[in-house]
Amino acid sequence: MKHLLSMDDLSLGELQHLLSLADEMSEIQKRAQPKVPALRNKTVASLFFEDSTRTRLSFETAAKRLSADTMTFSAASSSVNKGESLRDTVETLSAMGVDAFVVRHKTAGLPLAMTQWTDAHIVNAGDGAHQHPTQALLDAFTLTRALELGNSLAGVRIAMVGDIRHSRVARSTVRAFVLLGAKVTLVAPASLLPPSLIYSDTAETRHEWPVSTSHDLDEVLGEVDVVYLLRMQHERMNAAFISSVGEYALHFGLTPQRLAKLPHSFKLMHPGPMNHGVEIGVDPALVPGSLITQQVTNGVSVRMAVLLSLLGPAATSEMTKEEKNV
Amino acid sequence: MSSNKSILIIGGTVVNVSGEVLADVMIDQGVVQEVGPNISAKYAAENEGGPRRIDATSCVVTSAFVDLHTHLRENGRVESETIEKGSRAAVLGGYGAVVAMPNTEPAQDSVAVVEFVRMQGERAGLVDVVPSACITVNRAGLQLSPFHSLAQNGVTLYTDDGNGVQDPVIMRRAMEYAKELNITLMQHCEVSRLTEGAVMHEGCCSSHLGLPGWPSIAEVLMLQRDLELVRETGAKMHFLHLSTARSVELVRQAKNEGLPVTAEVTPHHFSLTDEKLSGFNTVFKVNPPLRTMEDV
Amino acid sequence: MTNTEKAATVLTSSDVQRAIRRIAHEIIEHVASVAGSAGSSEKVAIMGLQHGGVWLAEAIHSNIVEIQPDTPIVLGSIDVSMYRDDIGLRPTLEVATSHVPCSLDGVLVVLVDDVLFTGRTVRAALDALIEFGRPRAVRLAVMVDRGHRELPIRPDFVGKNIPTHVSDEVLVQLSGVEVFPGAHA
Repeated sequence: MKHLLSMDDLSLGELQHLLSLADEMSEIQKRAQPKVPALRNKTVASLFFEDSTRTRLSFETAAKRLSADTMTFSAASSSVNKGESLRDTVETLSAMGVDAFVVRHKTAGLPLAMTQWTDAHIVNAGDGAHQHPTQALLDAFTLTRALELGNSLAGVRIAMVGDIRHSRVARSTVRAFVLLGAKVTLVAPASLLPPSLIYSDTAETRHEWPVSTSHDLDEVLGEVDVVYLLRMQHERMNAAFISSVGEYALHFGLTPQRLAKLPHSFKLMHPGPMNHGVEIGVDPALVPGSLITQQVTNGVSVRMAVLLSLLGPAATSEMTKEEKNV
Repeated sequence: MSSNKSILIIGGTVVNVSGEVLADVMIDQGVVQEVGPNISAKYAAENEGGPRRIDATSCVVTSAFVDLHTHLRENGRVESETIEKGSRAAVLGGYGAVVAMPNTEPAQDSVAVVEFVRMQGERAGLVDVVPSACITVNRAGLQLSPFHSLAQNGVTLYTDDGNGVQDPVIMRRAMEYAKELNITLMQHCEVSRLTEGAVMHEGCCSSHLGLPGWPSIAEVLMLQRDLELVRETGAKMHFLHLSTARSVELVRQAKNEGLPVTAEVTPHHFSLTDEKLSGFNTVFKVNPPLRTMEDV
Repeated sequence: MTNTEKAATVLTSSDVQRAIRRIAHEIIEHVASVAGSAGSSEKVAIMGLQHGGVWLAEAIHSNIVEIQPDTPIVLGSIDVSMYRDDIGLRPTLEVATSHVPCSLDGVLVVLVDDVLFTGRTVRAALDALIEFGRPRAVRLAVMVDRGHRELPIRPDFVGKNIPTHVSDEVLVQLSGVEVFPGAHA
């Protein structure tokens, strides 16, 4: 694996390998001295052109726990403001000796384009509404570990609720959940589902979205083991997608009344940041099945696993007998 | 382009209304005089005062093409293209005339700008550069272009290409002028409110890539509105680069009903689909967007 | 490639078991000699190196418990993959979990591995170990010492010294020890 750009690029085997590797990373994180020298001669640069708290800090923590040097690029105070092109920025940083770029940008496909501009490894930390693969990995890791199902989600029924249309998290996490055998139901008003599911529900669409859909959260809640709430992206609600936030919260928010209807064993997930009173109307700290803080904790382990599997092993070298037998 | 010297084109594959035939072509005073197999024998050799001979063996010989939709970018975007360079490309591609789209800076919404384009075309002297003009001033969709003045100066084609005329009042008035002046309007069919931020066809591929989609209905709705306006006003209208199967169906139906409409479809729209964009290759990002298998 | 037909069995299953038993005795004696001088029995941690040393550590541990049930002894494992000096040279990275049952401060640690070769794995293991505390002393037990050391490391408890060619492969299992001739053969 040279880059991590999209969950579409990962086979089930590769996904499971990363989850297992994250277990080992999680053990390191629990140590009194949670740091190993594995990547001590590597440099990881984070290029965030969009705001982020958890993803950026999570990647930087992961890199540091593996002893990699980190470089932080902030678009707001960079030469991008002088009109430097993205390509020139990437080439400039590459010339300083970067082994991996962790990139977030509002433009879908930018991480893929970057693979043409540098020899470094590229990790997609979110590109537009396209993909956010490490979120999918940490979601899969969190849920499989919470349910103690090994590297599988066979038969687990998951409702993903909210703005699927604009969500890179949905596009990545649904893929991971389905790959691991879960049954996923997307719950949203039609305007917030991917347009292809509404207007061209063909075999091709079903192949891309192997899920069922519903517009009735109350109906779905009785039949699921996991509720995954997505963030209401206020900044994208510019074209009559919803009547009002209140109307949305009333029909698609997790209210105390809805919570009461869920079985005690259910699990609650949210990628953060949360809009309290919108998609989530209960205090997650008081929900026994809430995995929301574990998602954050596991984010570091999963990102360590990703950085290690990209930067750790030699990409091509033939293993000699001496190396094998040491 | 005419020439006083007569020309004999020998041994080419002549393509015309009657099909393909291996034949020689005799041209005199810029006019085709005769087409037929082995007619070259009838004429004196070049060095004996006969016509200039051009060997066209293994070449296709046709009358020159006309490009109804050329962006020459002059004035305003001369770093992209100039009328002179565009003319060279056109003539190399076998075109004898090009219609210059009016989305220049300033736009071709006045006699002065239109005349400038025509003059630059004549100065280049390679193809007939036929300027079109805008339907509205600066293609802004707010104020009608001076149709009378433009028509008096020989402009017959009007379009806000790139911007569809959104306001139905403006379009209805423009059609009233078009009917009166016997000029043709060319519409870029797009309800822009439905395509805000859009970068590709709205469908399976855009849903997967998370890119804002450009629904087919944005084209079809505008086309239907304008067909009804044509039905009412009787104005001549040409629909630019249609991209959906439904649009073609609507135009065919309108023509069968006798409405004075025509339309064009580009090679990429009938041969490529939105799948080409699955790797984010912006070479395939076009306006209107590549559609689906059902549309090609 | 490994040539299975030419594999030479250098230790049988019973040889291996006898060697485990002997190493267990030697460790007990070693602990006793230290205890004799210090006046009290000290805590011992048997730490298997992932992956080949883990089963061997378990076998040595259970033998010690069997021979002398009151020995204050714990069993653990340690993964060295993140501490290797050749991490970027290997085509794959097999990471495993370290299980360290207690703080290693003041403990006598016996590192256990199946084969001692260049010594680089043991070097990495020493680094990894330090993360979990400051042992009083670290000893090394291996089933096979095949020579070709590249670092100043020597074992304290050895099942068998086996001269090998550098390109040979040595396979240590409970069922016996085999040497597969390398490219030189």
